[in-house]
Amino acid sequence: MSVNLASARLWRGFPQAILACVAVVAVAFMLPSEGYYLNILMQAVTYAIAVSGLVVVLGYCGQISIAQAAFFGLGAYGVAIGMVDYHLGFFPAWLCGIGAAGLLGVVLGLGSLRLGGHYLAMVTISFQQILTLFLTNWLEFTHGPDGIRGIPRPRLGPISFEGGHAFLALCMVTLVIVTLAVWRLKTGRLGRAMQAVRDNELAAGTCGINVFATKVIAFGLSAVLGGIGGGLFAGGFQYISPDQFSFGESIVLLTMALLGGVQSPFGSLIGTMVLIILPEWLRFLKEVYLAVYGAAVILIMVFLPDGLWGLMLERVRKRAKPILGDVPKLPLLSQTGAARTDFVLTIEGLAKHFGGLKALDGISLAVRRGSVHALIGPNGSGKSTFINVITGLYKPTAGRVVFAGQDITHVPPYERNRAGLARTFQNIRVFRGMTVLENVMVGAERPGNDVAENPAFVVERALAALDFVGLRGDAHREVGALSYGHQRYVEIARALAATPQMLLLDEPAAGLNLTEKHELGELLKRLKGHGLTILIIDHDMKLVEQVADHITVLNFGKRIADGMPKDVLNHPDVIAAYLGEPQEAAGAAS
Amino acid sequence: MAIFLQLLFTGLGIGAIYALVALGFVLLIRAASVVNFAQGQFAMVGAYMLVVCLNVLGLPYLLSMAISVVLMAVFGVIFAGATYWPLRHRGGLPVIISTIGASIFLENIVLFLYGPSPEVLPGLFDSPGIQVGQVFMDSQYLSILVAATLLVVLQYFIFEKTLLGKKLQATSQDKEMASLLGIPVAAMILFTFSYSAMLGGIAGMLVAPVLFVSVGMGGLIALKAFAANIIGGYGSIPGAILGGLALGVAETMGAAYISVPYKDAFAFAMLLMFLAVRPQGLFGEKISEKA
Amino acid sequence: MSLLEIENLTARYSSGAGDVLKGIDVSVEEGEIVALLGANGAGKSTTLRAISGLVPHVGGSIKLGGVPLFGQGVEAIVRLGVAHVPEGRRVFPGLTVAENIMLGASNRTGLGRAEMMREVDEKFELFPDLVRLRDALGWTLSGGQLQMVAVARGLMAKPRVLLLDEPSLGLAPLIVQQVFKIVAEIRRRGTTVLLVEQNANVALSVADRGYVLETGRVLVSGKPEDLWKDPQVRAAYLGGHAIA
Repeated sequence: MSVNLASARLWRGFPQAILACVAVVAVAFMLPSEGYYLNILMQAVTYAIAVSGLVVVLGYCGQISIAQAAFFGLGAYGVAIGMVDYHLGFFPAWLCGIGAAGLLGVVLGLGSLRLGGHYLAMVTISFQQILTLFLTNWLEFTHGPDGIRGIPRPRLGPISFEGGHAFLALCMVTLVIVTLAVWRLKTGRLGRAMQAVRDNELAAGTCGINVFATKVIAFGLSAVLGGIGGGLFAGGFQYISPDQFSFGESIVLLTMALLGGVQSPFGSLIGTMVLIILPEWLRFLKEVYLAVYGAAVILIMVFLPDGLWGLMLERVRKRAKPILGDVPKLPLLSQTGAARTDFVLTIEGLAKHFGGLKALDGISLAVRRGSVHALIGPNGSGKSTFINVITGLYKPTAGRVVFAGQDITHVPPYERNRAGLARTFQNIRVFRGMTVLENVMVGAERPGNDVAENPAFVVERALAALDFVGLRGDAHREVGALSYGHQRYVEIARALAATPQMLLLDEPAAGLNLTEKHELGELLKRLKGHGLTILIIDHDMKLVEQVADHITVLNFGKRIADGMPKDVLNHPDVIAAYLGEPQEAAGAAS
Repeated sequence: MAIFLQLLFTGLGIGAIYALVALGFVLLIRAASVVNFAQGQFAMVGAYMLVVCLNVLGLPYLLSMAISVVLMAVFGVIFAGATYWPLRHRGGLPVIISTIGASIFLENIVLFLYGPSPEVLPGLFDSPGIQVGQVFMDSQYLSILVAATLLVVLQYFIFEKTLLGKKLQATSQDKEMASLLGIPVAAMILFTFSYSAMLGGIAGMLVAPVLFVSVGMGGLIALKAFAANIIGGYGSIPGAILGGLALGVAETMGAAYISVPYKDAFAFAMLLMFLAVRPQGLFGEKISEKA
Repeated sequence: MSLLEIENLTARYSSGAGDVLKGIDVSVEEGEIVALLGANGAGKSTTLRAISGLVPHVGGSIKLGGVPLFGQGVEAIVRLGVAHVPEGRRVFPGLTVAENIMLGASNRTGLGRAEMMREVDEKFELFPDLVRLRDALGWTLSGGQLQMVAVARGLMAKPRVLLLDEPSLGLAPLIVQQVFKIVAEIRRRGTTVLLVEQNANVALSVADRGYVLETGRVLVSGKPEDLWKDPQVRAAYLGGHAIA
């Protein structure tokens, strides 16, 4: 099975793409020689390439870029200046333009993507304005507002792209390749990481994804695609000027992506075609067409959140077939535990203060390998803070966290995951835009996991994890369609697929109904039977006493009890923490 | 020195415009978590309303301004109904995109109705200005500074001294709790949109005699206001005011001493510099980290 | 007829999720303190949120003085006389203590400013510890102070019933006693209270009656002295080991 899966994935989409190439070349040469048709198609095709960049950054990764026309312009000016002023060939000049777009994209991304989502929007708008200023005013280099004329088209060996038909064929083939690449990106490791970042940055980080780097790559890729389209645009029209790459054009490109649907390059292709051809048909709208664009953006956001492509998919969505066949068992025991420390997790004197509030006040705790360790305490006792410090979301005020022999006190969350610490969340954090299987594959793809480098093994591992929690039949469903309890299982499967050294369960029973709680208890017992190390935080004592080997109790940020379940649960301090102090409280009543 | 003071005066005048637009922008972020990319178009629409009242209907100046301000308040509510209300439960990104759509729509619908040729508006006062020491204070810049100061004082009064202001603040800090106290949260948010549109509109009316009134005037102002907001500290009210003033001065000085064609680039260069060195801006976060 | 009548209440947070409440019956008489007890996740807070109209999917019925509450907006329910002091206190961090308390009267129309300020001053008599903090901003207060501000703010609504969600949460035992003395005092002055509490002993020390919830159902209900002895109550919190 794995062999078939692997080879099928490797060449996925290639036959269709080759057919499409042949078809588009034929279409290009059959077009009437009138410039009008050639020009319309040339514009549509080059724009479509740039718009597919927005699919990557906005659709896959969820970041707003409003400067796609600027990157398009960089590609175009690269070709124009390179060929006209520096007498480079088309292809080297094109590469220069693409390189400039990609480089600036990465630099802008590094500056803004660490901050909130709207920062990129603002920075890209600013960049767009600055670029327009430079294109208009830097006469010696850009030729200023008059633009650049007489941009030649290339020859490649015996093949000439100098004719309109031939150049259009080149553009169309490029579009086919770009569309294939963007489509394949979505179902690849990088694309899945991008979507995970889009759906839930926090959960993506705890699946070992470097969120910041992933966003920068997505934005850089979108800039590169803008540059590719722009270079072809310059060759196609042989004349460019700054106003073709203005803020308004960036909005047009954005509208195209949104109208078609940002989740797929086919969507963006449809959106581009519609918005290039529509104004031609609706010539009477010419004066207000941008106003119509603006209104269309609002209407699309309100009524067509998934675009035209999303609408079509909804109509034809087939029932996904279950995946049959055997998968290897889940290797639950850690394979990377070379350092045979007796304890997987050791915490010494951990403290976290918020201003004057001591949420954690010197906690020490050790989790023995292969045991189920429960951390309990009444509401507000510091459990959530504890988890956030352990998983790297908060920086501790003092203390040390050693995991699998490695000091991780000051390590970012995604590196803790790479060291083998997997977790689930109290408020379920699945990747809502993805299927059940894709969610779990993100877990299996944790860097350092034994299967991470091989896509076929990743699928197998994910299926095995789903098998373990009993959700294999739902592998191809949208994760949002599952019940709350099953979404929690998806989270657990996602963590298991990462072959963790320790599994951290943050209130797994929260929000579950009685049946679901019972099933969860059975699942945890099975995990325990396989010898997986588990640190569980929960309020549900029935669940805790069923599975725990060892219990630590917190109250007011301090450890008030630690030991075997029976002793701990009958400890007077613990009873008082949960039920209150009987005699004093009775006194308060009088 | 005389030139420097003169530039400082002009820079503060322009900066006050940015500050007013930035203020409206910040209020929406705080009240409704909306990043409104059509804030600059509020200024443009306000300026055109003034053009219609003054040049077409021939009304007196102050009456024209008063009518325009009232119209802007209504406009703000309509704007909220179209771009924010239907999307309010869908997170930040769809609303951002829809306000971008609104900005394009507004510019082009005005372009369609009014044509591309810029309009010229007379100043609020006939007198060209007054000489104070070595500085000539242009009457319109002076009006801008006075009006902006009054508006900031008025806003301080509303927000700090009235029950309405307290309800607005409560809404921006915790909507669910505000509604549990019986504060009409939806009305508070609509009021903020309305007020924010008025601020933007007034900025547009004040700056109209200094610049030409054109459909594109709002876009650049808005971008500077965004930059002011980041420089001052995201979502900070004093930050928006100081950031706006600082930007106005910096770009006026930059244009005079460094380069005129790249005047508009200084604001963005400053923005990028702040993002790199001090992303929390001048005023940073007000409320401390407490889980 | 009871002041607050909850019949067969079911609740879920989204259409796909399971029921958090599975048919709860609770009644509160005029002038009583009623405690809802139970471990975390039993559905106590959800019950209060359902009364205030904050839960999107509910079934059954809730009536206040015979008026059905379902279908009314959150703000309308507050105007009918339900004041909700939610879990976590939710004191506005950027407003002062006095301003926070003042806003508690937002549900009352036609209340003059002078009258309102007089009532705010009355609240400071009930909470003398807050007097020196009158102009302190919300975010600078400690947990106990926040709880007092939140209760004072709730009382400003002149509610027919005051919903108190986990007032003891995260407070040291001494402060918990202070807070509950105030709860008893509030009742003495005539306000009906529906109290949600994890700290069973302290809650039962002030309550007239209690209901113990487990996984969305009422497990037992009755007088404090009966609940005190009931082993099921202990088990609901600490599981089987504790009684063994």
